Amino acid sequence: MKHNHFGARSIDEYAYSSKLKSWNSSLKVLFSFIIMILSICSQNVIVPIMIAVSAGVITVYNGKIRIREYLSLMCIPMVFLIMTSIAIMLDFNISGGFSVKILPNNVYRAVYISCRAIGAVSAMYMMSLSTPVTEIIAVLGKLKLPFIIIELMNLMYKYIFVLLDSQAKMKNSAAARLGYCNLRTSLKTFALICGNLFAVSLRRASDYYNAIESRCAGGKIKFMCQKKPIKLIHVIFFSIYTALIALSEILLDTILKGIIL
Amino acid sequence: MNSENILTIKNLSFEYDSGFSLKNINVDFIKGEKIAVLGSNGSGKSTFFLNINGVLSHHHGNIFYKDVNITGKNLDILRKNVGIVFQEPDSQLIASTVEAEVSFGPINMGLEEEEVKQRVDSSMIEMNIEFLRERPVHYLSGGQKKRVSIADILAMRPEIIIFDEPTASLDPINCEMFERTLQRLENQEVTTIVSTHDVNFAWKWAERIIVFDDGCIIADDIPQNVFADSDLLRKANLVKPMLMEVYEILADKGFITSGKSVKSISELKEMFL
Repeated sequence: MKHNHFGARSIDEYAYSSKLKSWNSSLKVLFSFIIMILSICSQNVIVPIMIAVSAGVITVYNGKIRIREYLSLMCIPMVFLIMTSIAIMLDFNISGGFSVKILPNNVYRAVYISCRAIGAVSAMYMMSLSTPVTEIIAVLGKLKLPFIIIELMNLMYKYIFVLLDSQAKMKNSAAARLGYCNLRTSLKTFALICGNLFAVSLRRASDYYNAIESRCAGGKIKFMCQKKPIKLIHVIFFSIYTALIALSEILLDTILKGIIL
Repeated sequence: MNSENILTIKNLSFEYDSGFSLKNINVDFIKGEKIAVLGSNGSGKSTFFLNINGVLSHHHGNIFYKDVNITGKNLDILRKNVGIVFQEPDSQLIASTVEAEVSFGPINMGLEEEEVKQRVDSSMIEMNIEFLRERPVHYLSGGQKKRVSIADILAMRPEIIIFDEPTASLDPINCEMFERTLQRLENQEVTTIVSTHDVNFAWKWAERIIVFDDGCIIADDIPQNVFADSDLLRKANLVKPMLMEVYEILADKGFITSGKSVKSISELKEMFL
């Protein structure tokens, strides 16, 4: 297997190697979605943190993904979160001289928003690190999304990898001819590769069309889908998990309100 | 017409918008034949294959599939019964898992789910890719991708299988596996057409050779005759197979009797026993 430090590719690889892959994909998509909604709608910071930790544990422990790799994947959204939080925390004042202030209220808001976002991202990772993209697309198909969109999603997903491979080859061959020796050349090479990729894609499109039509496609792209029956134990597992999260939300809500009142 | 004729092509002509064309092709294919197609790049081999597979529809002439005249309306008959394994697996493989990929053709043929499953299983076993069943196609090695692309076509069980330069990107082990696949297809009496630049392979394997040049068929004969014609070889930029040349030298020097043809090293060895 190729190792590439490109985020999308590694997420894809983890999904294929996850021990949760054999679970029914509709079930995983549905419950991850519910958990995500719970995290976003939560009125406190504790429930989102619970979600982040528990979804992380499910992905790492049940899915058998290395904790270091999981944490490094979590770093990607963290960068955005930290930058957003800084923007929320700082209070710029221009009228009457320039001043920057940090208000306690804004700090609380930044923490609150960050926590909900982390919870939601963990819930999404629970889905995307255990369910290959094609299966997620198949679930969307079951939700009666238009066939053309499903078809396009499948083809786009497939050809991202073809495009990445072509780009890697072009980049290597450009580097072999000193295409990146200084900034000026690098920029020029980058532009050339972009143009070349576009030309190659156009040429290849007709090859793909021939190959698809030669197997009687007749304008529709359909595949056999591996059936993964819903197991009762998995339903129970997810139900209890979601119920616990929802329950703690309600409890915390009442307790916190009691304190404030 | 011979009862074993599967495909008969009469006066076929085809022209791309860009101008390149096939001119007046006449040829027929018989059940169980092993045919090598030679000719330089751009001589019209691939265009010819796409025509007899029904992806491109011919402008002039006729294609008969077992006495059925193929027109624009029944091209699907060709697509179902003539399969192409494309040169680049990357331009053929479109699904994301191996199993889904192999199922693509049979599903398009409108087969029952059970039948699709059975065909997918048997062609995956045939190509020895059973263990890759749920693996994503885009992480496979070149040789594995090639095997998947062959399984794709086997699952459709066509009567004619075309391999477009199959060994171009294969290592020796995968080449050997490919030759075993050809052997099995021969046993099942599937007509196999292999387009290649490898004259040694064509000499060893084919029982008939078709040579393309500039959109025309300039030779259609048994290998012995094709490779004996030095004018033809020059015109099509071909060279004599190594074994044929070695045999001729040995016969010339009087080491062995001339008049036979040697297809493999082991056959040559036997002559000295």
